[in-house]
Amino acid sequence: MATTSTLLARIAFCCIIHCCFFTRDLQAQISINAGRNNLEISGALYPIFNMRYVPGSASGPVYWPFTNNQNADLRNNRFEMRNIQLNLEGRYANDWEYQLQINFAKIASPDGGPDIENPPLMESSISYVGSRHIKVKAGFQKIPYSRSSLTSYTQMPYIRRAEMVRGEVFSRRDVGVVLYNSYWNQRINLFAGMFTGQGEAALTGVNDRSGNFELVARAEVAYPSRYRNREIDDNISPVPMVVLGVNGRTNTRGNSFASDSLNYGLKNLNGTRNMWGFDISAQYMGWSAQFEYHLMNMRPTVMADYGQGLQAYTDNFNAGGFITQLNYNCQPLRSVFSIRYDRFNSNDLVGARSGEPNYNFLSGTVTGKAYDSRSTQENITIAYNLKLNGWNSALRAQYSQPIKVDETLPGRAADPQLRLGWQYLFR
Amino acid sequence: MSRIFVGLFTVLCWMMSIGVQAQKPLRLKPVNQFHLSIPEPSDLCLTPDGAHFYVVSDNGLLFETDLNGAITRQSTFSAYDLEGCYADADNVYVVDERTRKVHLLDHKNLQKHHTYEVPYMASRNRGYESLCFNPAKSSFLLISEKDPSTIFECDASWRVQNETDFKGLSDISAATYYDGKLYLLSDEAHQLWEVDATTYSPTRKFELGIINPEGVAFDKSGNLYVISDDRAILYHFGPLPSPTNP
Repeated sequence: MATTSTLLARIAFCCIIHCCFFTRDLQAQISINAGRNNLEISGALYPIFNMRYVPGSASGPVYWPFTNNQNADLRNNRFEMRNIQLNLEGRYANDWEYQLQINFAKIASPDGGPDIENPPLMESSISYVGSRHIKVKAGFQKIPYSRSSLTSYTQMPYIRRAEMVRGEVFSRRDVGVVLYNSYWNQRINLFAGMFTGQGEAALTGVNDRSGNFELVARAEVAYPSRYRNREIDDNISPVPMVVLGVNGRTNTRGNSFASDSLNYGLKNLNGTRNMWGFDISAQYMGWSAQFEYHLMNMRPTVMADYGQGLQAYTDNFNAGGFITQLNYNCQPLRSVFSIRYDRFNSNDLVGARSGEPNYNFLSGTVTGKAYDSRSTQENITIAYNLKLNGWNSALRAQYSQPIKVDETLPGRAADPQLRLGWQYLFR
Repeated sequence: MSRIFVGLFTVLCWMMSIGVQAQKPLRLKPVNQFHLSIPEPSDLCLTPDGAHFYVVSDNGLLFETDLNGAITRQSTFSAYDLEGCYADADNVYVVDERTRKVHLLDHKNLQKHHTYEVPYMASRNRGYESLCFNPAKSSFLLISEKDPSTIFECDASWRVQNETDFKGLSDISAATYYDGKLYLLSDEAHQLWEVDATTYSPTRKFELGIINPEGVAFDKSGNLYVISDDRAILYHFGPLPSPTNP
């Protein structure tokens, strides 16, 4: 068995060397012009291998959160298609733009519902860009909140985003309208949007019983020139570049707690959620770094959803955390190295705020007022990327090690995970 | 067996690092810089009288400026995404990357009088990024930006007569001919390469150290000018050092 594995590893190594030298010019790029219309066709294929089980680190099976699906032990290794993507981007004259982006890999997911981080429909929007005063974008699109969320997976060194920004804590896409514009040679970018508030679930076409919309705003300032949404210093910036972003969003929903119970119960809160955050990104000579902070204040309509007896103490709680990341793009080796640390507290009532009730999510009881950090999770992740043909063909590897798991949520694995992927873009 | 793989890995790393060791570029420093009131300037060329520049922008606009970057005229003609320009005694030539069209304009009124389509089946932003005339081959050159960077030699009717894939630079954002040599600019590498106008083999390399260089030109005295798209700045570098006395 060991001999077979060794042989397979060597074959894989030879394949990588072959790819390094013989796949550099593989491309498939198409755009079509017809009068004032221009349509661009592109796509992506992104198979990954996910090694979840590290011998000796798990004590028993880990099931899908909040379910008892014995067929979905999260320790099992797997192959997965992260992306089978088709992207159609059109322009009419200089006034109109439209985009349809579909990920066929996510039409079904292991738990039967849509994949939160990568929904089957990634973008379906129309933009009017003909005015220099204001631009409008309508449709299903990324919400202008969080630099990390807004950055395309092709422009980040990791296969999987940090827990807080990957779509389980707050929605990354929704149906709505965004007004935006740029100033000072695109150094300043302003966004203001109104969305259904249902997040990725908005594609069902119905609003919740509250009928309210989510309001979102974001402002970015970059210096000394515009700063593209990239985590890697691809162009080896000859001068230091920095961008600061500030964003906020507010939402009052009427969903039942059960409708959101497959994640942290924060995404479609039954009640009011106010959220703000800031992010900073810098790059110079191949080095780049990001820091991002988020704070959410929750005022649930039914505080008991988050623990029987909690309403006796308070009518709100906070969640939030931060992500920090350092990357180095080594051009001679065509390699990108990265390390990331993220920390997220899903509920400060069971978290680190001294003097608050110490709520046990599993048993549903308030056990005291002592300091603890059971609802905090911390992860450290390292990544390596080998660019075979720029980002159009790149091998990616990511190893994540939980430092601390959120003990209040069942089904959260404490095991380290290895992900290997091959990103192939045709554009 | 494992030693063979370690050896292979070492050779692989060594081969990939060769590019760094070979021919280190000479660093140039701008002697002056001028802020442009032109949104997203993407290329420039000298007017035939040598007193002005033509500057094109990503927004499809054409401007005439003085040598300090101050706008003196603006064309009423507009395209979609102008990325390259060249001027001779007869015409101003501009190339629209999105539509793959070369437009010819009159010097006097900057009005378009001819359009040629030069098809190239790549994505919208992988079309022609550079345009210039190469006297060594009596050809107009259209150059695609990257994936791959291909130099297309065209006749006066803009029919492609020959094409050459250019290796070594990650992209080519502008090109110009001066004093018997062809100069290719790279946005991603921030470098200017001097290449033989006939064989396209590199003869000298210069490091510019500026963000997003997208346009390059020489004036009649041999001063080098480079435009930064993102910063909307015209950099004046002065003459290039002599090859024998750098």
